Amino acid sequence: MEILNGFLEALKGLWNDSGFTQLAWQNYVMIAVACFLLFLAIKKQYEPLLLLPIAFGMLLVNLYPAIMGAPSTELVECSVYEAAHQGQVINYAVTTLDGVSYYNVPSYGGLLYYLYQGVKLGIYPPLIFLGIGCMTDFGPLIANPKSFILGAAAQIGIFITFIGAILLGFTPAQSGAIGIIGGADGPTAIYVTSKLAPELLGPIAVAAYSYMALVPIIQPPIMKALTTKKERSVVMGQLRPVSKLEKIIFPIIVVIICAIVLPSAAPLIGMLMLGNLFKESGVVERISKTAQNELMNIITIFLGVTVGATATGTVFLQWQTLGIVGLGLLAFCMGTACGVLFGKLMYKFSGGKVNPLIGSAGVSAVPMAARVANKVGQQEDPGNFLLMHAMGPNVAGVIGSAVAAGVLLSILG
Amino acid sequence: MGDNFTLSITILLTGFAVVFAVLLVLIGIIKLYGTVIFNIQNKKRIKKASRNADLPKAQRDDQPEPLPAAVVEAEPEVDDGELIAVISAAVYSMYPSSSVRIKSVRKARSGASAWRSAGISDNVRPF
Repeated sequence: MEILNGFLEALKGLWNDSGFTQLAWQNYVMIAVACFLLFLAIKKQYEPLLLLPIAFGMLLVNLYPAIMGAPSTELVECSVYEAAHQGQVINYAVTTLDGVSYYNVPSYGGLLYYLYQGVKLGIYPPLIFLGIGCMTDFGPLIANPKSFILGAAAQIGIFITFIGAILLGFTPAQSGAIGIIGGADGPTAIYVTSKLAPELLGPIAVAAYSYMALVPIIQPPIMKALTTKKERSVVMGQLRPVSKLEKIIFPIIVVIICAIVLPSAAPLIGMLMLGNLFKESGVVERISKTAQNELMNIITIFLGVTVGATATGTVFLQWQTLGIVGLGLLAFCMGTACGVLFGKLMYKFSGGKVNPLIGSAGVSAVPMAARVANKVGQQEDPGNFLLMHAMGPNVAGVIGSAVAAGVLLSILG
Repeated sequence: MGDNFTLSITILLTGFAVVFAVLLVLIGIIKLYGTVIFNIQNKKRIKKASRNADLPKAQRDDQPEPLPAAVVEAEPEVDDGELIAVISAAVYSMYPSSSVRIKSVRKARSGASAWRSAGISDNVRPF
């Protein structure tokens, strides 16, 4: 009988520990959302490299919330502890309360809690930028430096959305983090949010990466609405060749200028330019390959899973998440629109030599936004190849969003 | 609310001004050093060319590579605009400053038979 009771007690304990009793309804909703995102990543292949780990992290944390649990200390009466451990004495700190001694027994955090420290401490995003720098060719930007204007114009959406977020009742720091979604740059959005509003990291990261994946759907209607057929058909002249020396000097100059003017942007731009110098110098090929392959992949796994793991049901399923998603979309659309409008200005001032479509690529999202500009241009004239021209504003957008991040961190941080 | 509105406008103006200012400075500097480097490299090229001009033809070290002169007529059934655009882009990237004109594109005819090519590739695979 005693054995049976023990067996039943054990089953009861297991049941009480199981997800059936521990999880709230929000967790189940998020499990369904995570499965849907997995479907999008695997079947539809929407940014699978990021969406898959993000969705799986979301799934894991909603199945087992303690996987993101922070470490804590529990007070256990010394005599009780020693009795449970056959009198073994441990070097735990001892606290005495009302004449009774207690051990401060530490309980360790969950696996993802520790991996998440790279996000929380702002380590992963700059490392991702290092890899991006190794993969980026700034040649089109050096050949046509005016592209920087389009990269800057597309950042206006960030600041306009900031006002929208303030009006919706978000705090200034939260509004800054929401606005940065308009930069369409995942690592920058995560970096700024982890510094300004870590509590919003889940919704902001998911919104930022979703919009990056949806660039081919969101941007073309805006681009077409703001341009005429004649403007979209402009065939741009060939870019001048850029020498190796120019490409080597570029990252050094950019980092010097940006880090002096905006020190808070230095971690992002510094790593981006370091990666680019690895690539362009041609003397550290091994390091360059590691940074753009193995290191980048490892960091992507950690970043994706842990960012997904911030989307717990109770945090994510709130009205403010809808607000963030809506504002993020506004930021993204505004960025695209401002880029195209500045492209139109350049079209006018250049006497019709600049195709305004390349302005839309000013919202980072490398190289997706440039591909979209090329594709929309080819819908008017299949022989028009805008890709290299759009890569200029596209990589300028990466620098521009990092500078915008620096501005927000300087003022609100 | 008033404070937040003031902050919003401050952020908008500061952000707008700083982002544009930094990127405009970068435009200026890139243009400047681009011009300087271009001029220096151009001078070197001219110097080299004039030195070569003094030498007898056989000793010249940087003979311009023969341009891909008129690469025959396209086969009528191969009228692939995209393919021709890619080939043109490749040729222009190799001869950016020359006045290359592509008149036509045709498929290269391989002199070796499939069996001979397979034999060669089998023998050189370890290397």
